[in-house]
Parts: sequence; C-alpha cells; structure tokens
Amino acid sequence: MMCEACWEHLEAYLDGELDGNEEKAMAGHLSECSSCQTQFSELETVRQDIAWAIENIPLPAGLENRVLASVFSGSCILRETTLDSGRPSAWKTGILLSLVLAPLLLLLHPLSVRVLSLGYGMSRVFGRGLYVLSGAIPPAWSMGLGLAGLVVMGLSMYFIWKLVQAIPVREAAS
Amino acid sequence: MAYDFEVIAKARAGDEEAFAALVKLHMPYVYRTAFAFVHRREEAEDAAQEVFIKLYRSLPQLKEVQAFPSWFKQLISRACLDRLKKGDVALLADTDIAGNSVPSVAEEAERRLIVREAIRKLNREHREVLLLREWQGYDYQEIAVLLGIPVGTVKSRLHTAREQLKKMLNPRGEPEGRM
Repeated sequence: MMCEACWEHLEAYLDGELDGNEEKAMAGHLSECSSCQTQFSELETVRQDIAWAIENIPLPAGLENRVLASVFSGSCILRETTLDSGRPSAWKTGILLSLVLAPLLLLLHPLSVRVLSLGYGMSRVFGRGLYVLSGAIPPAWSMGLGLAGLVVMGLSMYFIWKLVQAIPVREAAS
Repeated sequence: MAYDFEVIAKARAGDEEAFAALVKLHMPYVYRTAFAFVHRREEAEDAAQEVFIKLYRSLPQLKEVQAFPSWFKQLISRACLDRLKKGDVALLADTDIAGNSVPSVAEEAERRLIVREAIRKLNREHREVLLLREWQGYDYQEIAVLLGIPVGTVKSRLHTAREQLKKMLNPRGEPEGRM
C-alpha cells in the first residue's frame, strides 16, 4: 500500500469502518511506515484528548436531587390525573350523569315547551330570511364562502386535535 | 457507560428507588455529554433534566431491557442535538468551565480547558459530528441517520472537524501529546 492510499483511509481505519482486507492492508502499512504511523497517532491523540476533557467536566452540586425532584413532581401530577380519568369513583360518575341529564328533564316542563316552540318559529323565520338572502348572492360568491367555511372548519379541527394532544393526561397515557 | 439491567428492569416496572439509582449512575455521562454539546452549564442542566424526564415517561414502553443502552444513548443524543439546533449556544462564552474547574494539577486542567475550548470553537455541524463519533461512539451510518445527512457528508464533516481540532490543539505543528 502507498502512503497516499493510507492517508485516504486513515480515519476510516481509526473509526473501524474498513472491511477485513482493507484493515489488514492498513495495519501492515502502518507497522512499516513511521510517517503514516505518526499521523495515525495524532488522530488517536485527538480522540483521547476529547474523551479526557469531557470525562473531567465538573458536575454541578445537587444536580441529581434537582432532576429527581422535577421528574417525580411532574410524574405525580400526571399519575393522579391518569387515575382520575381512568377509574372515576361512583359518586363522581353520578354527579356527572345528573349534570348531563338534568337539562333534558327540564325540557319536559310546559314553560320549556313554549320556549322551544317560540324558538322553532323564530328559527323558521330566520332560515327563510337566510334562504332569500342566499338567492341574492352571486353563485361564485356563495361557492367561495362555502369553501372558506370548509377551510376554517378544517383548521379549527386541526387546532383542537393539537390542543388535545398537548394535554398532559395524554402524555402519561401514551 | 456501565449498565445494571436489574435496576433498569425495576425502574421500568415503576420502582422509584430504582429510577433514582439509574439517575445517579448515568447523570455524569448525561450531563457531561450535554455540556460538551452546548457548552453552557444551565443549558446542560436543562438538557440532563429533559433526558431523565423523557426516560421516566418512556421507560415503561421499552420492551427489551437489553435494548436500553442504545435506546438511552439515542435519547441523550437527540436531546443534545435539539438543544444545539434550537439555541445559539455556539457563540456563548465558556466561562462556566473555568468557573467550576478545580484543577489538581494546573497544567492538566489548562490542557483540558484548551481541548474543551477548541470543541466549543467548532461550528455546530462539525461539533455534533465530532462528538457523536469521538465521544458517543456512533458509526458513520448511525450518525447519518441521526442527523438526516448522507454518509459521505458525515465523513467529510468529521474530517474537517478533526483537522480544525488538530490545528487548534497544535497550532505550531509540534508533535501532539499531553502535558
């Protein structure tokens, strides 16, 4: 092997990236050529210097405790939330169900029926007005408005999804 | 890094004492690696904290305990690379090293500072490749995957980084060697 070929592969040899034959050829050349051996030693020294310098970086006092405190405090909150959402107690479920069902029961009251009937009448008038108005808008405009509405809807669904993902409960559960 | 697979298995099962032991065992490597990348104490502390929080959250999902060494090393590397990418850490002064260092032998300590200072002076691309190879021991292909660059680019960056480091450590072309 010539020195030029050796220089080309010197770093790959140091990094163990050569195949068996190339490695043998390099080892053979290095054992005979003092100039290439010096270059190889320089590379080895750089590696040793880096390791030696990093291994001696002083550790800040109390770092372990600070890290452990932050790890466990964060995780405790997450675990409580996960337990709460995963296995809700009977009375919590009861309260939640009554909160959801109570408004439905109220709908049966005669006053609610009257209010609903009034609302229905008004919504019909409102719907009729919208229909007349939409007839007056040029088709291209109404198409554009429809598309814009779809885009806004898509964007808001994306943001809601992102928000849900950011909730810690999800992180703990995933 | 030395690994205690029994402790890792316990920590994975939710044993907080085992997790604390894991932190104690690996903190020096994690912090020093982070410091080598970002060269700033606060930033390195934050990176170390981030690594262990991620470890705590994702350790239960690790299927094979034997896979822990390479999995954890990648977790550390990715956290450090993200920090390096996010912040303008390359331009920050290396005063923290000098402030914390208590040299037992003045010349040795000075030499260590020179080496760290030389690493700090490398630009982000060269520093990350150099540390991933020389300190963390990844091969070219793994570095290429981690950084999302071709293997050829890894080789050329590594070569440039080594040349620059050699020049900085040995500016007059004198033979290398520790003091």
